[in-house]
Amino acid sequence: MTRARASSLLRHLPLALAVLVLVLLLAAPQLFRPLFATVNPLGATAIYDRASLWSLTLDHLEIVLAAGLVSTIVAVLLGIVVTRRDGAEFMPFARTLTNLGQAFPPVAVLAIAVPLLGFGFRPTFVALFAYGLLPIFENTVAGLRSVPPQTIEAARGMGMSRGRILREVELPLAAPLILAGIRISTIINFGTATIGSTVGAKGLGEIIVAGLQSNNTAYILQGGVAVALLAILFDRIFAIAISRTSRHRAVPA
Amino acid sequence: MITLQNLTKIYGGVKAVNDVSLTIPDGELWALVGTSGCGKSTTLRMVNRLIEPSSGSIQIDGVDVMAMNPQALRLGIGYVIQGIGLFPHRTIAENIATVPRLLGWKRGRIAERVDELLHLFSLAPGEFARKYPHQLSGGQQQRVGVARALAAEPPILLMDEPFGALDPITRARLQMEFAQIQKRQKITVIFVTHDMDEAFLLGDRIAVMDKGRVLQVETPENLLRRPQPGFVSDFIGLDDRVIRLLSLRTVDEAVRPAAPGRWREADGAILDGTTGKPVAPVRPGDTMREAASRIIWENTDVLPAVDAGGHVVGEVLASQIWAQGSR
Repeated sequence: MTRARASSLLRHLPLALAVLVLVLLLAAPQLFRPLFATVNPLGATAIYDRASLWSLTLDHLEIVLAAGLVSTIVAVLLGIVVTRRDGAEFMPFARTLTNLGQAFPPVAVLAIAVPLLGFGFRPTFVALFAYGLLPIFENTVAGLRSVPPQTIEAARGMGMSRGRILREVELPLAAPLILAGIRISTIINFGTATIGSTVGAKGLGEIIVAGLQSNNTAYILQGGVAVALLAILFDRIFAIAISRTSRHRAVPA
Repeated sequence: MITLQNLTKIYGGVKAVNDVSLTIPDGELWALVGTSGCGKSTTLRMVNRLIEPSSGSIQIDGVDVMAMNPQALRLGIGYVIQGIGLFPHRTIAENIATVPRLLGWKRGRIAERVDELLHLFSLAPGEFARKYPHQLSGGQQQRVGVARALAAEPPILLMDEPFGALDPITRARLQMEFAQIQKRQKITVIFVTHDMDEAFLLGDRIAVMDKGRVLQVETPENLLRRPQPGFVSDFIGLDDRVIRLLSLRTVDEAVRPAAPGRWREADGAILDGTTGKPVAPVRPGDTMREAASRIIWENTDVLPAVDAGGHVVGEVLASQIWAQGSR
């Protein structure tokens, strides 16, 4: 085996391991009973059995990805607006908005949102959406500002319209940084989403909350491991996407 | 034909370009020269409306550019800048194809044109077409920049210090390549530079600018012989104007018949018929400057002239060369 192949294998090892362990944990949690049994109190069940791990994982994924998608759309659009010549005046507004979303604790958002939106998916979605805006917005702005001015000047000089320059030059060149922002936001929200279970949203947090209520460390560990594996999985997926979009980039001189 | 009439651009009360009028005939290359901030780039960028004039007008073949859609206008004008501005995320072939693609050319026609341009700029398509800009040297990138500007065969080319960032050898080679292409394809060029040597080498006419105004517009030879006193004379530098005058002409026009037996050919070398010593001859296309430096080096007053095949066709007298460099 060549050194390059060995190193490429090594790079994909975390992804492969995360997928393997996650699939085993979801499909056959009983396999892990001896492991979790070592931390659970005497007499309690070691494996959460009130709902299937598999369906809780899908619920968890759904809420994180849905909130992430909407955060991405809003934050990228805001980032585009404030980097246009006519939109620069919206910069303070956009910064305040996205910073507020991050600075306001998701738990507090839930407390405010529940009376307005009821229990379950909706308040959690709002909390995650607000929490995920800042990294995407800031990275979009940084990405668009990193496009060399001569490149844009040349594009204008050749007769490209503003829309075309944005689509064909600015966004592709900013893509690695924008994706890095979405990555951070998504990874953080996999963990943050667990608090949704305190207001009745379906997700892996449910196991952790059950563990906390019944003092069952095995449950807490189980939920935590599943969330962590999801986060690792998506982290690797984003890493691949980022290297795909940045492989043609010149090393900054 | 490009006509600038009383063109003025005011920035914060300062006239960056002040009442500039120029008429550039088809197929000529005009160099705009001057120090940084003299308004030469601003003038250039008003032609394709990257900057809008404060007053005055620009016409291309009698059509006012202000009446045209800016994007349509720019699609018909090649544009090359010092930073090159190649798209880093696009291959060399894709970069060159930019304007033809914007114009909606068929894929086959674009591919043919890209191939043709890569050949024209000595970039082997097999090697370069699929590379990305950062994989190329500065000189190669600049070649691609010029090729990209010429892709849709624009009749007009605007160039803003296109060769400024290159090393002297690469710059000289690109200048020669570009000069040939420009003359052969009869492209009308406005060329901004602060390098007088470049302006004298490439320019059919040179416009010297200072503080937003055009002070003098002349052919290189007339500019050297009759520069305005003051800024123009200082900027051109009169100390070595003789050398520059000699650079403008080739020795071909000064070759006269030599007496039989004056020069001998032996094994590809040229020998002085009287002394029998080998001498370096002048060749077709050599500038008078090159001949002068050889005459001084050899401490002689005559050099043999050969044709492209290396055969003696006559000789060049030092006095004829000196005459070209005197007032």
